[in-house]
Amino acid sequence: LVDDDADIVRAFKLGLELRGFSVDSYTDPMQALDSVEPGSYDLALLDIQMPGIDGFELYKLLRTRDGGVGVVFLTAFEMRESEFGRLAPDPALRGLLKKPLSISQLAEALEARLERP
Amino acid sequence: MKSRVTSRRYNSVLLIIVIILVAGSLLFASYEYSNSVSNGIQAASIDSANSGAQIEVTEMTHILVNQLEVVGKNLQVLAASASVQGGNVSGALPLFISAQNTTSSFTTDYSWIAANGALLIAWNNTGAVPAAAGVNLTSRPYFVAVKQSGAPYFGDVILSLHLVPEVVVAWPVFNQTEVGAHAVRTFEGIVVASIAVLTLGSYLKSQLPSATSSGLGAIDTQGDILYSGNHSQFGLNVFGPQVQSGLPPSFAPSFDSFLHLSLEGGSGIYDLDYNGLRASIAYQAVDINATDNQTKPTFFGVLYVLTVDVLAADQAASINSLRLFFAVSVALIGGSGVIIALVVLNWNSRLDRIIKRRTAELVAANDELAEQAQAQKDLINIAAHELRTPAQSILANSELLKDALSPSSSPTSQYPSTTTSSGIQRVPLTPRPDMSEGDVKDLVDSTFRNAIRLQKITNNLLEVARIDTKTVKIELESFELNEKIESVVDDFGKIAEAEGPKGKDVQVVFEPRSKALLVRADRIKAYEVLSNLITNAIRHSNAGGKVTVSAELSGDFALVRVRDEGTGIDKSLLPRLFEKFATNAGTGLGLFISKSYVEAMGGRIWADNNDATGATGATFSFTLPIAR
Repeated sequence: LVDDDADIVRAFKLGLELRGFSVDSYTDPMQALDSVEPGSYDLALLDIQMPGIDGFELYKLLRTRDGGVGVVFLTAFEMRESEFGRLAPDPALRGLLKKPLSISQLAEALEARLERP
Repeated sequence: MKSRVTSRRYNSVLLIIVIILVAGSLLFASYEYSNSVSNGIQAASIDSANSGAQIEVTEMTHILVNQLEVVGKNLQVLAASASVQGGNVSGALPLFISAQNTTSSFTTDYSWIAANGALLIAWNNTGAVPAAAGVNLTSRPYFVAVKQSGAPYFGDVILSLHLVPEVVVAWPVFNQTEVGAHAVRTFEGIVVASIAVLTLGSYLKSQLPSATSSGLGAIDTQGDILYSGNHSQFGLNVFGPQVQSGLPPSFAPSFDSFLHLSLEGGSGIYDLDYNGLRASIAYQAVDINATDNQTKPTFFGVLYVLTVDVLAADQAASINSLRLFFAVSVALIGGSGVIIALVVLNWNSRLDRIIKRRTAELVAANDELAEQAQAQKDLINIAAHELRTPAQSILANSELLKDALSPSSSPTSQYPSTTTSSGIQRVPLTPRPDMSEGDVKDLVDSTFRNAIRLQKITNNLLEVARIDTKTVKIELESFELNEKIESVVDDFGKIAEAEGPKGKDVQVVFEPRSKALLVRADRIKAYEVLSNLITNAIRHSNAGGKVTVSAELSGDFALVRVRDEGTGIDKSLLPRLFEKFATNAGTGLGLFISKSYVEAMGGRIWADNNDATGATGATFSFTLPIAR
């Protein structure tokens, strides 16, 4: 879980762990990248708007370290689906969650994403 | 666009050419028309002059012929009278006196010449004319002619016995006797009427209508002048050197051939055009029927009437001026047309330029509107982001706290170890059956902090909306700025708690540099600006850093500086530092609001990096007007 807002990271990590997920969280994208090894994660939950690097770029870098990692993006921006399609042409990137959402909604979305091959 | 301009220019040139052509043809047509009309008028006036001359010449000829025929009748009566037939001179004298009396204004004298040439009677207006001595009258041309032909004689100009030019009318006197079956005629002499040329001319002149301006001329069959406007020419021959030398050489040949033609008899007209003088000369032969049984009239001479075409000349002058007037008018009209066209075209192109300029302005305004619309969209997007971020924390935190307060519905029980359809078995690596007290405290703190942040963003957004719609209320009052700054710096503790990451331990100090700074400003807005700048400074300070606030008098303003020792401002950010959402730090609206407030209060705000002085960090400065 990578988001530059420490409060959000704390709440999401806590909530997801309470729901049985195992979560590593980072507010610094570079630290997150540093921690990835092949097979270490099923899924990356990435905020799109972060200082220094956006979620898409970060995901591309993550894939160079672990080709099999899935992704779900988070954003607080008012982003239209078509806009997201333009920014993330790769169908593998087509998971977008809009803030604010409850931890239950987040967990359901992540479950669904993990069910998908 | 360029081709359109070219074609418009081409059209303009075409239009001018068309106008010039139309004006030119109008000019030409009008000139031709006035030309033909004036020529017509001139011709008509010449015709009228001609016909006037013809009428006059006919009339004068008729008068002359009539007069000569009267003389002829007198002579006929005298020749046939019993006294003359009987050679009775004393008996005949009264007849001669009577004859002279009837034509006294015309004839010089009547005389009777015997067959042997003896002058039997000669009577003029004053009485008997004595016979010229030593002259044989039988050799006089009229005597010779009458004796030879036995017919009446209407002669050419001759010199009288007194050397006066005259014309002579003579009648034979026959003594008719019956000899057997034949009538025998014996020539007994002639009766004669002589008419001095001068008298003839005077008579003719007196017969002219008094109003006429016409000139009169008469010649005999030999071309000797019977009458002319120039009396010294009386009796001279028109073909003689004295008359011919008076004619202009260029004009003489045609005039002479005209004279020759007129001497052939009949009547006609001659158009004289000499040195701008137009004249008509009408001529008519003077044909006399001397006796009732005469088969062919006697050709006595030719009468001429010269009419100067004064009217025609006058009309020609006015027609010429009319023609000029027409030409000038049409030229003026054509010129005006061209000028109007040029003015219209010039106006057109000016209009075109204006339209282009307006269009450019509209395009610029449109671009600006589009920019504003985009800015509005960006603002909404960023505002949404700024509102959702704390809302996210509050939502997630409160959800977690709620779950924690009702353990029965703890999500942990809903998420046992599962095996996903993809075969991944997920077992919680660090199971968290419950939240620690520390977690709860963190969540509560985080919720409070984000609620504060939400409140602040909401207020800022509302304030930005007020600024954008220019409905911010600034209430100016005079207050002491140093005191105000001191109280803000004291409040800094609270600011640090709300904004600063823990453990930064940033020190905020105030250095007043002027004793008292009484400013005129909005107290609350000034507080906002100051606290905003100090908060920013703390946020960008490193741990253990120092923020220095100073205030001093600078001209008519109080100058406040907030200086930090942090990382400084990104150079690329400097130009738009005070715009909305220029930074991600805080709400991104604080500097925009601060700038709006300072400027609304009559001051200025700016920011510099400290690198010019070799130090780290940045300094934000603003001014407020000193109260007067």
